[in-house]
Amino acid sequence: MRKDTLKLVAFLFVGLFFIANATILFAEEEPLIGKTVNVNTATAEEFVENVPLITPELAENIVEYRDEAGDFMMIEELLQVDGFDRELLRKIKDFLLLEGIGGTECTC
Amino acid sequence: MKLPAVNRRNFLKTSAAAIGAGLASPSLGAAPETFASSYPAEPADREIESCCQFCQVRCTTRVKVKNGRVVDVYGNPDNFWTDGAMCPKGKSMVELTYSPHRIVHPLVREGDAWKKISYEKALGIVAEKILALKKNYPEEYAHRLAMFEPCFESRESEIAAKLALNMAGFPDLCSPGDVCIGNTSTTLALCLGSAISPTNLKEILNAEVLIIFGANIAEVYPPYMRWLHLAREKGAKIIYIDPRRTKTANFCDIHIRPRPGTDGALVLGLLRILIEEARYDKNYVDQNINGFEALADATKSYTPGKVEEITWIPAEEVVKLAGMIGKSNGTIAWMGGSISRYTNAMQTVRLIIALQAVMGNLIGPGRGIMNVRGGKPGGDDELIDKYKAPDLATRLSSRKVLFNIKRGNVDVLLLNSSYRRYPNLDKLKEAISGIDFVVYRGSFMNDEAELSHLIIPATMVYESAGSQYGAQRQVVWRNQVIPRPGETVEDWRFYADLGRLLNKERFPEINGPEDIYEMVREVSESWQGLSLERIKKSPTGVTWPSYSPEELDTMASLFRDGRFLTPDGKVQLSIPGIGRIKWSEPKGSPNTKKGKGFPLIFIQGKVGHHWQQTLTNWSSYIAQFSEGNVVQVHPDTVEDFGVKDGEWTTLETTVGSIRVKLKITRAILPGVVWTPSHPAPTSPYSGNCGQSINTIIPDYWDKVAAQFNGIGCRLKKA
Repeated sequence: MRKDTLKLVAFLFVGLFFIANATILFAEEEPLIGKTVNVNTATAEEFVENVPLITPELAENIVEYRDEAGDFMMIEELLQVDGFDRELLRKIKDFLLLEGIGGTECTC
Repeated sequence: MKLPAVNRRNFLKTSAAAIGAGLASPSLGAAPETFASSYPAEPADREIESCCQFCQVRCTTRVKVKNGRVVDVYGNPDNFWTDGAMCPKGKSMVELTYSPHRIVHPLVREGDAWKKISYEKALGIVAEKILALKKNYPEEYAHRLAMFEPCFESRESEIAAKLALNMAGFPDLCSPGDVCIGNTSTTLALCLGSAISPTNLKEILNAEVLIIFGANIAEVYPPYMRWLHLAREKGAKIIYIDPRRTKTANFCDIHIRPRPGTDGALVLGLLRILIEEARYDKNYVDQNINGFEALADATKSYTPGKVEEITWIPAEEVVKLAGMIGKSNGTIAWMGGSISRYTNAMQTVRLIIALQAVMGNLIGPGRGIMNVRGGKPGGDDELIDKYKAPDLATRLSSRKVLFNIKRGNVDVLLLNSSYRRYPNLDKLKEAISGIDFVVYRGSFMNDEAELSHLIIPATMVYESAGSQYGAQRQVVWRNQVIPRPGETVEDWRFYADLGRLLNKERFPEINGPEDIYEMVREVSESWQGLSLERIKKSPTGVTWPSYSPEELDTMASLFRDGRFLTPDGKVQLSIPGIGRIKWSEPKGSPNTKKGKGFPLIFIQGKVGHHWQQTLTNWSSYIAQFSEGNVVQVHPDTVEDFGVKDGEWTTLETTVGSIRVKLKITRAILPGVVWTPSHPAPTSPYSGNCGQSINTIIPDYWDKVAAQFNGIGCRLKKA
């Protein structure tokens, strides 16, 4: 079977900025301690427990946005979430893993 | 009104009885109910080979023509898959072609009225509106246009639409799969490397056990019922998993009736038994599966007792079922569209794949996995990649496009199919009403037309030619039977014309569907054996992929060399984008916070006579079989309600309500309600007319596709 011609039509989108699993990242201002989470599967609790500077309220906003709009397709899409801004994203970007499913083109 | 609580105790007895009744069904061994082929007496002066454009059984047909007019259609008796059967949906096309309600000239909205305009003028308006997006949003135009893709009447039409829009820099074509089996096909792609159904139907004749997960074959794929009959004659045990006692249930050996949305928990329980008792194929697992340890861990807490609590299936029946699968020397799983329509769908499908994988049941005689609506063959992307705009933005998911529409970020919508297929559609309707320019490509003055600024009418199936694909990966050809009426145009022609206006000299020369078909063959190895001559001759169609004209059509499994189409050739069970292996309640079910106060479980489904919410609603022939908005409920559910069969009541969910006629029946589980999906408010025929059911469906999605079943609901006296 020449599988090169059977292209996998479901695509994955992955944006891994830095695997910061249980590490300390030294941002310009202060060291940040945390673990990487997948922004498309993490629960609100997991955001709060693992990602520095994410408050419970912001974590709820992220999950609510994801529930309404679907998986994040770009990490910058987090800026659409209430309470997120560029400065925060710059600081915690290394703790955020973007891994999602684009879906197949399926017609009948 | 006293409503039953949703817990195991209330329904244990019913589930157990159902299994027993299934085993002792008086219909066991009887010939399946199917829609027989017919050789109409209608006189004709010629017959033309065609195919049905509706479901993926893709019945090939013969169309009878007299004095230039279609007078009848019947199933091609030489079709291997259908044996000449076809269902009423396809038959309705004769009436629909000549419907007095049909639109055959382009119409532009002027205030509250419609004004007839020429096709050329209408096409020019569409091109102008699209090009204006590029001028007005030079850096951010890509997502300002969206298309709700139809179930295209030919593969070439779909390709022409993608060429026209992707070449012009617009990627957002919303696939129908995103409100259908998108969760299933995507999970198949992630776990096995191919989104398309890998096993052919004829393999069930070699199986010892066939497990049908929520596929009501008698209604959704009527011509396939004869295959179930043949499989049983050869000794296969057919296990049917569906909360409802359907026509399909009557025919199967064992009918298991789980609480809707709990199939994944059942499979976890089966896997636990098979793994703990070491009844799986360890060598096969070691060599062919990635992620087995995580799977085994996930099953550990799913004791038969816990499975019973979740699914309402008695623990001893779960153990018996595991025993059957453990003993079987060949089991095939057939997944219906219904399991794809839950927020836990991808988890469920991955678990069904895992069940087949650990038992070594994915490849080989009498083994495999099938998907109702087989999916789309590859090859198109290779052509689109050659032509698309070099800086084409990433295609957004349908859910993201809908989100953009609701936020007012879409200015042009090509409304080629029913927006009524999406959840929470009153909200969506409101959002679409705010879009600057909506073009409708269809045939009737329906809900979509009402929301549009311009209507460019489409042809019907006998008025166009092209190829189509089916659930067995077969590709068939349809000939044009009669001329196009008025100024209707085929989709391939409309998009080729539009593509030329949007892309000027860059757009390839296209003069007919054959040109597009050959363009794919020029770039895709997997289509080399599918010459036009070969598919035009075949009454069955030819199986994709086919790499050379000399290759015989064996209809074999997609995994021909024993390896899967994943990068390392193994089954992938660990998929970070889905998350860890687990079962969870469908979002909004009565057992969740969002479903609180709505104690009944809502499910909907197709009926044998209707194709979704669209064309068939305009057929008076089909209307005779339909009853509008009805709801099936068990007598226990309405025991203290003081209502009788046939009375009108109100069905409510968290987002809306609908007036429904009660059908009190033991065919449904207590605590569950079922209603047909098809009614449309603009249908001129009372049987087909009704409120769109998705007005009461909350906007919940799995990773790819929307949820339409499993939410909480309640009944109120009207």
